[in-house]
Amino acid sequence: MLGKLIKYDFKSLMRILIPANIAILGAAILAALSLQFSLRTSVGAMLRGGFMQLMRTLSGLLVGLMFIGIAAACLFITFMVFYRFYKNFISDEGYLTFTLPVKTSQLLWSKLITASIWMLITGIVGLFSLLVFLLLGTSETSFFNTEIFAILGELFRVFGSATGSKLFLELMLFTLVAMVANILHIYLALIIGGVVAQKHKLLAGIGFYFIINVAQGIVSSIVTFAAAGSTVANMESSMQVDIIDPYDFGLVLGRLVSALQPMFWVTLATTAVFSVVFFILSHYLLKNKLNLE
Amino acid sequence: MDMPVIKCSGLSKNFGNVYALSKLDLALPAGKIIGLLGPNGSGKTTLLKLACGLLTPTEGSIEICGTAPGQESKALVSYLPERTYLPDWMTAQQCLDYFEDFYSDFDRARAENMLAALGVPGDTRMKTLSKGTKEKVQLVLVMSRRARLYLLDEPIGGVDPAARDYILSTIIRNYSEDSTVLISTHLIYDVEKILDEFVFLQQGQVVSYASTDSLRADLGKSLDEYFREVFRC
Repeated sequence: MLGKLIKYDFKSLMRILIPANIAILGAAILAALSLQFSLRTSVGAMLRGGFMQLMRTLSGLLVGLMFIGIAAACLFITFMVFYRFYKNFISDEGYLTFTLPVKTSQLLWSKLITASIWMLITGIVGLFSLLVFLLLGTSETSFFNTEIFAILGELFRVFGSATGSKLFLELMLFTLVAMVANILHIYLALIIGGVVAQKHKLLAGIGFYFIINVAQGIVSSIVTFAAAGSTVANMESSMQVDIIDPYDFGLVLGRLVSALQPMFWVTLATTAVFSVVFFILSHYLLKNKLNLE
Repeated sequence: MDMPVIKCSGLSKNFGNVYALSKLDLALPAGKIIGLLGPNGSGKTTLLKLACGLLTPTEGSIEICGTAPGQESKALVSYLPERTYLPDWMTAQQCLDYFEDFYSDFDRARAENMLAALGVPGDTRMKTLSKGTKEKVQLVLVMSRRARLYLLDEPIGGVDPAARDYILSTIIRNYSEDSTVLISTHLIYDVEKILDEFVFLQQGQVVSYASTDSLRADLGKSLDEYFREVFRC
């Protein structure tokens, strides 16, 4: 049943989010080509004036517009993911959703998994768009900027080292956990809005988002403060300039990463605990307290 | 006696300080078409929502075919809310796919026939259909399941009289001996002829539960007349 739920959630978002993602990629390519045009015509254009000058101005404008467009598309995608949740759970569609022969937990899991997948897809499309932009839009002399990939290659080499790949994996892990926590945070806010408010449930949900945010902030600060002392001590002892060579990037990175390890795991664990709490609360409210209009 | 399809014991539901249902006891048998009747705010919709698991009781219990509302009971209950609940991006055909996927008792051929008879286009999105047409699609979906219990909340309120007759005859045609249909409505005159039994609700309690035949035999009254008498303002 979970598979079927995911299938329909995915389907309903696909209609909107595939075009939105294609738009992001398209805007990045267009921005890159415009920028390349600007770069390549820069030297002679000022002298020739007239038409070329106008074209340069327009292409510069287009680059800006495309970046605004990309930002708007990302916001739109995020909004649609959560609006879909709201529609399906809190609005009239809830009458269908909550009379399906499935467990409430399955409904919640399906929403979490679909949202995560779409966020990841959008993230990957965004990264890919950035690479395309760097490749096409940053060179004055050649159509493809291969130099930038040499620099990227160097970066990957650092990340390929033992410390680098560990750091990379930890960052990935944290991104995933933080993403899940954020999704569940918004879900919980929307659910509380749906349970508490008689009207304007969506608006109430947005309000509760900030209330949860404050509560989460207070708990996080306490935990971070408790863990901070040992981290600072760690850093002081391992980062002294007279012990390590500050120009040895690999070594500095290694020391920094290992000094921040306790802090990293504490933050990760706190975020994971928040996710679990959000999920349990959401499940309880959906199962026992939700009263659809 | 067979196990009741719905069994309520001391069932109460309050919203804040307002009691929607108050210590309600009721057991409804299998194989009947039963009218759930009462004035506005008497608790009809609340009772249906409790039976399909959209609400949880404040006190007391409700059982559907012997189990508390949950995943198991939801597979047995076919519920038609008074709201239009279909996602607006779906076409009627996609709605059929959806029901076929989630309900093992869904009879697709039956649904296709009913949609055709009612003249509902299969490939138009819900968004562009009229409210009445959406209600027809919902009713088709709900009645095309071979459920043990049908809960119909105002099933004929929004459709034209011709469709009303078709829907009522569909209800009679489709329900089987071991299934029960519980219809909540204000249009008593229209549904009276198909009802075997009726439940009168007032202020969250059962005022009267009897068979329509006995009403006619004992009091010589139609259900519509009796309703007007009991709930005279």
